[in-house]
Amino acid sequence: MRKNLLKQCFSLAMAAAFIAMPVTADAAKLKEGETFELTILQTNDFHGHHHHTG
Amino acid sequence: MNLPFYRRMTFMVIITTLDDGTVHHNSIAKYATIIEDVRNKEENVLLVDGGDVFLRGEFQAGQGELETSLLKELDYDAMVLGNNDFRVYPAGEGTPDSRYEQLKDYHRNVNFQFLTGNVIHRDTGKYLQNVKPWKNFTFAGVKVGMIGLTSMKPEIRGWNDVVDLEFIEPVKALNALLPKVSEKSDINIVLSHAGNEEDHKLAQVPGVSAVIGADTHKVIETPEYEFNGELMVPITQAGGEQEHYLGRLDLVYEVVDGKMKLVESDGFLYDVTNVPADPEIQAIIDDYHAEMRVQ
Repeated sequence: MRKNLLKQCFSLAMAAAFIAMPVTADAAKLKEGETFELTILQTNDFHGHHHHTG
Repeated sequence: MNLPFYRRMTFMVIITTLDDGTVHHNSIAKYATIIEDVRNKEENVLLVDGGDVFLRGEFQAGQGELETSLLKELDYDAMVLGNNDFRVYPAGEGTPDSRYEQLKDYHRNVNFQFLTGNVIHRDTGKYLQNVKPWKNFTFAGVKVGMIGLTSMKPEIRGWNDVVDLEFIEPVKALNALLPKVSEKSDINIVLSHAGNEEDHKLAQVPGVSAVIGADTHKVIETPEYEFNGELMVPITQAGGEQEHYLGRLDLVYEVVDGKMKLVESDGFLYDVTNVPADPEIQAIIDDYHAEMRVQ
């Protein structure tokens, strides 16, 4: 019983913490002038051609 | 941005013909070596495939079993379904049921998301099972929305495999998806199997910052571009079939007025001639070939 109570308290505390977390708007999250680099590696249309050494 | 070790200075045709007349293909095992290198050097990397993984290959009876297994082993992030992925082997004998089974086997084999946002079931209007129209990839708080769009060929050609499905024009589907995706993403990228001509139309849609293309087997050495009213949008494709490549696109965004804006892009195809094959990936390929030959 005590264990369950503790578990419930912990769950409530966790839930409260999540609720208290501020919702970050995109405009606030993205800082003006900051840059972001993304690399995309791509393959396409193999059609079963993968080459083997045998 | 680190320039890759394997970057070639000049373009050369990688296909070579062996003495016996067979074609020496680019090897996925060599791609694996480069992929690992790039992942070690760059912070934010997405590895994607533009579809049509099998059909017409040497072991097409395997219905993409080896190819999807290789993509899983390489830890791909996403793949768009190509028109031939809807085409059940042997071509011409497929039904909606056998297509369902084929794509179900695809899904069983992989650990990444299939993206196709312009194919729905005629009766329910729902997307295919295990297939999403788009997906967000988050890098240090930046959300990259990738939208999958495929070719209209299966419907136009009247393939029996897809009589239960409706294929929506890629630009129409993109315009319908973009408001929702833009709401949840900072960057919108299209992963397309719609073909190069259609890719140029997709790149003109405001809100899209890159189109990763496929289907036409076009060898695009450096990106083609379209102006979408705001910026020049890169369009890529890495050949196909006997002449397939590993392509790379580097994108640099800057936050302008609270939004991610593409400010720089550059791309190329890797020359794998002198790149060592990843032994583990090569072993998977060789073992499969040996097994299939015995059968």
